[in-house]
Amino acid sequence: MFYDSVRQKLSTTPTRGIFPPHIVQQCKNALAMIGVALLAGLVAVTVVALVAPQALGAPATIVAGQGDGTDVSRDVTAGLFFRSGRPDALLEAPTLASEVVMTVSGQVTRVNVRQRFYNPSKVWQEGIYVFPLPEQSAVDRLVMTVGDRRVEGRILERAEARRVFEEAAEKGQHAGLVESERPNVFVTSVANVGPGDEVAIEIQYQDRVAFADGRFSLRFPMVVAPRYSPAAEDLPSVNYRSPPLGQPQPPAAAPSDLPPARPIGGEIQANSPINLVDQRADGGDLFGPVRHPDRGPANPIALAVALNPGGPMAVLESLYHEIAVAQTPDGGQRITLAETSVTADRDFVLEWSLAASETPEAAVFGEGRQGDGYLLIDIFPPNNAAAPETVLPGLTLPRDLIFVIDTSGSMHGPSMEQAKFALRQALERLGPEDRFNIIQFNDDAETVFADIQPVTPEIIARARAVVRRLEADGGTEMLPALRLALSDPAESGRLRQVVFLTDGAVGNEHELFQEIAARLGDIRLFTVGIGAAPNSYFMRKAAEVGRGSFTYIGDVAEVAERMKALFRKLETPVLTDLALDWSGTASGPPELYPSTLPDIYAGEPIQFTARVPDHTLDELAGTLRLRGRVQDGTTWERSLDLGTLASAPGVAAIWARAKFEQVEDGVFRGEDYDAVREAALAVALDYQLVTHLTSLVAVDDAIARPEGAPLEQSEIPRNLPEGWDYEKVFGEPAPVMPLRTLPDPIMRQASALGGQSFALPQGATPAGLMALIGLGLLCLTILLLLVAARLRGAPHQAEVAR
Amino acid sequence: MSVQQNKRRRLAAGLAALALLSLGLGLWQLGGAGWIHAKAWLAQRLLERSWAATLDDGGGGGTSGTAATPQRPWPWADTHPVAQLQVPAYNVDQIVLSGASGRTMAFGPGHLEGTAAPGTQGHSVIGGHRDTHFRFLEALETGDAIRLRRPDGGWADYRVSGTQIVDSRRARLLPDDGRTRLTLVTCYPFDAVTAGGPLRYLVFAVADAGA
Repeated sequence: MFYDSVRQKLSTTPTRGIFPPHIVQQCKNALAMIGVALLAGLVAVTVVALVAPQALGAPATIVAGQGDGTDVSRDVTAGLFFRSGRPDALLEAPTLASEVVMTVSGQVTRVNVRQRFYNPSKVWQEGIYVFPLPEQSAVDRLVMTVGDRRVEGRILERAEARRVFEEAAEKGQHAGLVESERPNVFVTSVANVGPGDEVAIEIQYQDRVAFADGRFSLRFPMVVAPRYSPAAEDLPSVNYRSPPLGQPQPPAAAPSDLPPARPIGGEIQANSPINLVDQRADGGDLFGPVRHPDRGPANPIALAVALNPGGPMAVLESLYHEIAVAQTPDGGQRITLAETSVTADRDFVLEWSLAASETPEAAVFGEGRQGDGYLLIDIFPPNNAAAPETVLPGLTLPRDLIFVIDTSGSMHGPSMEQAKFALRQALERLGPEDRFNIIQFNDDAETVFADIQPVTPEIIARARAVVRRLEADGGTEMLPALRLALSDPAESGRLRQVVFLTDGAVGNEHELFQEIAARLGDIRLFTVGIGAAPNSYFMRKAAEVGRGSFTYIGDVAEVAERMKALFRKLETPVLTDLALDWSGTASGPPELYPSTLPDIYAGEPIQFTARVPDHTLDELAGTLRLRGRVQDGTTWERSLDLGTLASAPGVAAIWARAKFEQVEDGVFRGEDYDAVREAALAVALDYQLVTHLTSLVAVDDAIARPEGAPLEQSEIPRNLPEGWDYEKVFGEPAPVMPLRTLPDPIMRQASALGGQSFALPQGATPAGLMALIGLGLLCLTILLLLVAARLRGAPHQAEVAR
Repeated sequence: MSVQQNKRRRLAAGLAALALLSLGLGLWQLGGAGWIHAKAWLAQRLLERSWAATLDDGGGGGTSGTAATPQRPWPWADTHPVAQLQVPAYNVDQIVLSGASGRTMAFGPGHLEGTAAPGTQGHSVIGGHRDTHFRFLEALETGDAIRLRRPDGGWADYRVSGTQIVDSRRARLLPDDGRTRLTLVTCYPFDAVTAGGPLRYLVFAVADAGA
């Protein structure tokens, strides 16, 4: 068909003398023959290329996948979706407003997320609400308000909670359920929302304030997709409609295409009927680009932070949103968004630092729970307001760096380019006393240099040349590469660091973790996640087991900056082999998480949580002594007086969240799966945590839905909601988009989907484009030859004529 | 006059050189296009062998779509056959590979990992290139029969229930809902010159109870 159209174009080309019709005809015939001949030749070549190496048993050099290799990411779209009784019909409900209140005392944050939704339809509906929370958040409370009824959630094992919920939904009771799909993605289901009713869902979670390089930071995620399942090129991404850098944030639509909704306090003016699946397919404007980045507010969030940083602040900054700050009588700050509400399309990040003289050396927060004491301890690097590089000078040791680069087939395309670029960046950062080697692996692993190399201009040049020639192909056999990278132990006086660049597309994670744990010794493993959808679970855990860090690079534009940050870390380790001395309590040793304290790099704090059995907070006394090894071999020591601790509710939940994660990690240390699951479940139930094993469920005793009224409904009303204005919302005229049910097979039973949905694979090759370019060039060839022939021939003709 | 002729000669020579360059580039591009199609065609032939091996192997094994020992079509392949796809009305008989990445789909239709194994209970999703294996999707109509053969040798029958064009930036397929169905995915429009557009053409099929 494509070729036909090209031929058609050729034959209709006006022939102004230079191209007599018969020549055009010959040209066409010739082209067709060339095409056929080429194809035949290529088939022959393919046979040889595919079969010959197989016969010889050698790996092929064929680079497959002319397609762009879009990875299938399993994004979860944020937002609330109402499920109608018809199993295949899901309607997205308009979000009326979200209100977030964060209370920060020192290092502990309590967050209340209240989201109010409105059911605009005339039928009883069930809603499913998918939303992001910080990765380490401990969700321990759910309150559902439907009308004037307020229902508290309780913790149950996941399957049990779902059963309770389904039963209540069946009976016509109001019911709410909070499940955790991933540590940072949660799903709420709400049953029996009456026509025209409003539902409020309150989630509460405990989080801790992060600290790095002298700055504290607090993050509230507003979109699910970008951070952990970064978008492939043609999947929703933050860049899709986000403003150019440096501009103030316009009220753009969320990448997840949440429906536009009214601003808080305003009238409903934009109840978009966008379904989970794009409905504009039928509207006919699918091909039109999205022209207006500021096409209307979506999922507005009002946010307030009560900040009590524990000392006078030097700097307070919101990274992506304008804020207003007011002093409170108790000496804290109250931070609100400058605009009443903002669009939920990027994380809210608040950063602050304390006046240098006020920065504590350590902060200890405590909570008593059932007779036990829980502690959250942060020890800050000295001089944290100063440049992190100067914290502990003179510690930089010469390093032996082993770069491991994944050249397997899954890296093909942009991922490989990113990885190569990252590796070139890394080579540039090597110091004169460092040494390095490069390992590349796909089906097997091989070192680029036989032995570890000093950093000289010639060797760097050779390494760069090797990197340039790397091509992605073959399988992902990571184990041999890991073995090779971890084969030589660290030499004394030198740091040995392994930097692993991969997309982590492996299925044998646990085997790999065991390998790392077994061979690590004094080596440190740093993972760099590459590509559109790297296996971040593998990366993060591998770095954790390898006592290094995980850096994620989702975009080529980020490579330089991220690698620089990683290298700053690599160059300045501060403390290793941290251990804790506990004196002052009579009972046994406290239960610490993480139980092995990680290495500390420049600017990082030492953070851990502890449970002291049989001691209330008041009974805690004495000193806590931390010892570590500074890289030059001397011992670093710090004492903490437990008498100074500040009380902070929620510390127990943070401790439990840390414990839960560590217990679960036991699986890849080779512990029995069932035992691990049981232990993890006990922790989650005991501390009311929403995890992938446990859910919070709230059921109202009263029966809300009248017996006659069906939760099932054959059809959702088709008309547009009042005042809905397409042009205003989408920024371009478009046909009326009717509110309608989804096509039968696409989706059903969102409650069973467990937050998992699938992005659509890409299905096209550039073959057509290449053929077009090729044909065009061949035509150009002929044209050029004709012109050349005429130029040569013209004088002779002139002579003959004379 | 000879000066003028020389000039023309030189110009002609230059043009000829340009023509040569253009010819080279043109052949290279055409070759690339042919290569894609040749690979798509040839890989299916190779896959038939490993599929036959899979069938031999899977007959005694489990009924799940993933055979215990995947038969790799060529030793360095990072995929393996998981099903055989037939559409009798259009003489389509293809081997479906594991994984719906661009790389896999160069060789054959790819089964989207995480969805139900082809031919088994649940929602299976298979993707393919619109200009090679899944060209026939354009012709499929409601009511057309699709057959899938599992590694255990058994056949599952489906019937096309509808088609739809969606924007992949917004659309998401939901997994299992208990019903047995099949969704075939390819890029849209079928005749677009450039690859990588956001639109997808979906063909929905449900298990054929009458079969």
